[in-house]
Amino acid sequence: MNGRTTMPDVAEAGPRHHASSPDASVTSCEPLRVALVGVPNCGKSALFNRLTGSRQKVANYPGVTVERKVGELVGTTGRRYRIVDLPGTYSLTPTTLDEAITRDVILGRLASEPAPQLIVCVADTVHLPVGLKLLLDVKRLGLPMIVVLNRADAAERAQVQIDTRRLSAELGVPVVSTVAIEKAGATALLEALERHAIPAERDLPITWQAPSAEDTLQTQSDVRALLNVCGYREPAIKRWQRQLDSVVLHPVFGMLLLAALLFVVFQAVFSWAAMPMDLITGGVGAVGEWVSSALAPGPLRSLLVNGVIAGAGSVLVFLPQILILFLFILALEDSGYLPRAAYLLDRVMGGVGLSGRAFIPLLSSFACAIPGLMAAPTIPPWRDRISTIMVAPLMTCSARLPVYALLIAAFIPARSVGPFNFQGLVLFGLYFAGIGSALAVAYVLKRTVRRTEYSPLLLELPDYQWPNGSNLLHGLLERVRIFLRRVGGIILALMIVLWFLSSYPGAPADATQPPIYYSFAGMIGRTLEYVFAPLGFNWQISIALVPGMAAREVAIGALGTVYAMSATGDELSTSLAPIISVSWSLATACSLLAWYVFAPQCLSTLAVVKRETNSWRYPLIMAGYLFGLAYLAAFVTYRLVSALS
Amino acid sequence: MVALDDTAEGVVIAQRLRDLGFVPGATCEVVARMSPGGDPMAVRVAGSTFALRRREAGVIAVQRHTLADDARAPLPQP
Repeated sequence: MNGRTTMPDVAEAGPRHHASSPDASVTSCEPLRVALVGVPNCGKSALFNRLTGSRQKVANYPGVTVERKVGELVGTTGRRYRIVDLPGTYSLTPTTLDEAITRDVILGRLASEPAPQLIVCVADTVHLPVGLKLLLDVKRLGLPMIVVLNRADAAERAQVQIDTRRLSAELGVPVVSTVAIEKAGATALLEALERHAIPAERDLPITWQAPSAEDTLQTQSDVRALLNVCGYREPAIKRWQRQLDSVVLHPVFGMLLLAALLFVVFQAVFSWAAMPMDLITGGVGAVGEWVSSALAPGPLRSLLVNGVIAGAGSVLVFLPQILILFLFILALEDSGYLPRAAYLLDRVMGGVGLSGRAFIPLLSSFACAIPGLMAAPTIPPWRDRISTIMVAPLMTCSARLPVYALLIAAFIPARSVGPFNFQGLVLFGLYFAGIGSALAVAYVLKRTVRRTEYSPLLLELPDYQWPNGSNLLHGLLERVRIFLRRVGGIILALMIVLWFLSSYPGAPADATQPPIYYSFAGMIGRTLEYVFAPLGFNWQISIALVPGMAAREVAIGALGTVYAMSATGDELSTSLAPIISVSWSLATACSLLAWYVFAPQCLSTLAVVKRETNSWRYPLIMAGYLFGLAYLAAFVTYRLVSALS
Repeated sequence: MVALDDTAEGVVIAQRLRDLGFVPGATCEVVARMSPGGDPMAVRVAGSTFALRRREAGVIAVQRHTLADDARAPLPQP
């Protein structure tokens, strides 16, 4: 070590040097600003969740923490802490946007984020060398620091030993061991915070110079020296991990496995979800009937039954499918498989100008384009990032799933083709159409937009691990919450607006069409029909596309409302599929499916693109090209299917 | 491994590789290759595994040695 051990030993069992009486530190009511720093994948986000109790996504993928995450914590002494979870980074010399953010926050350069007064540096005990390197870089800045050696349980299993007291003495800062995914994971850190945290005054940004090659080599040799004196030996790679990698990373078998995995996911989305979906449909129907019988006929009953229950119910029914999709994505993320998929696809994606790194944002886009777009800053060069952003909405997000599911259930026979379900095959095909067109669009961008700089892949392939049950559960619960909030909030509000538009003005006395035909919604739909008629869309579909702009799945709710309203006599159905299967042609259904593969039917996506690119240019280009593609695809599909059937 | 090529466009990559533990004297092992040319390849260094493209890997100069060499003597540090 090069003589930085000027501070006394303050390891876990050490004397309480900084534990000045608690009241001295509670004098200020401003919370102590703490920043969590660590390499990607060290369990920092899990620790943050344990500390602040916030339930956010905990992933096993380097670079998933792109957003700013802040949480508050009150210690046992009553002292308050404001904890910011900084994006994972290997170094203070950034190669990506999110790494630059981490550096700038630590240095106090960001106006939007107050400079931290204390750094909690988190390192994975098993993979200590890379974590310790970052730690030494950060420590050199001279800020008060607490070191957390995370994944102590994994280290024990891998028979990794480390003398934490010695490490603490060598570094001159407190060192604690934790297991972030366990319930008591943050207790040790919290204790250390209470004992050692000194509220340092910080106003000016720290001046910092990027280390030279020699500096880094010196740091790395310091790391080796430190590890040596603390008795750390890097663990041999586990035999089963190596064997698994020889299959998973194999150019042929690995690709086959990836294709098979994706195929299983999409089959499961259809077959596993069938029963819970039937239950929800039945439940919504029963509630509708009960409300119908309990209320006198009139506008209120119509609003509740046709607007609220039919509308929200037809969206709610897709919750099981969305949950299954997310269960798979979260499990693959947690197990360490996702970066390996990026590795497998890097060459293929490179052919169309995308980085293998783009696989993660694009896979998230299968759930929703918005988290996908938010993950795009982990892709360094501007052109690669723009390509990823532009094609992300072509990934079939879960909001499109309700539309696909409804149309497939209504028009595609549920027979088996070999060992597969025909409906599942069609769904797979639709996903594939999205992926294929994304590759094509990326290729066009590659040929038209000039590349500015080269960006390395340099992706960590973490150890495999079993997905953590509570992580998965938290992730899924978050999805349920988000989905239900959408159903309950924006979607429901739109349903009610749409119900109003569909109910007023009422039909004239000599009406020959269902009342909705004469309503405001009918007028809008009949106008739009001129635009959409070449695609085979009737006025009911045209109406439904309008509120579908707010969120794609709303179109289904809207169709539910439109058809429930236009049903004549006592026929009032909460189940849409039987109605449309008799009233639409196969060509119309296929055309609508093709439309949905491309259509820019999501205002929130466009808003996020505006924010991420900081200009109106890209969201406008995106909306334009998606609309054009959607119209073209639907037109061609309609003509083709009409001619064939 | 022996050295990193710091010339011209290799600078940023070399810096990051050093941060990850690719330093002279370190032992790295190719765990997997996507193609015979190794683009990308998975390389293990200092207990962690990283995916590198051919271009990144090209920055690293290595001296091939077998497990038998390891048993005899560690590589001399430059």
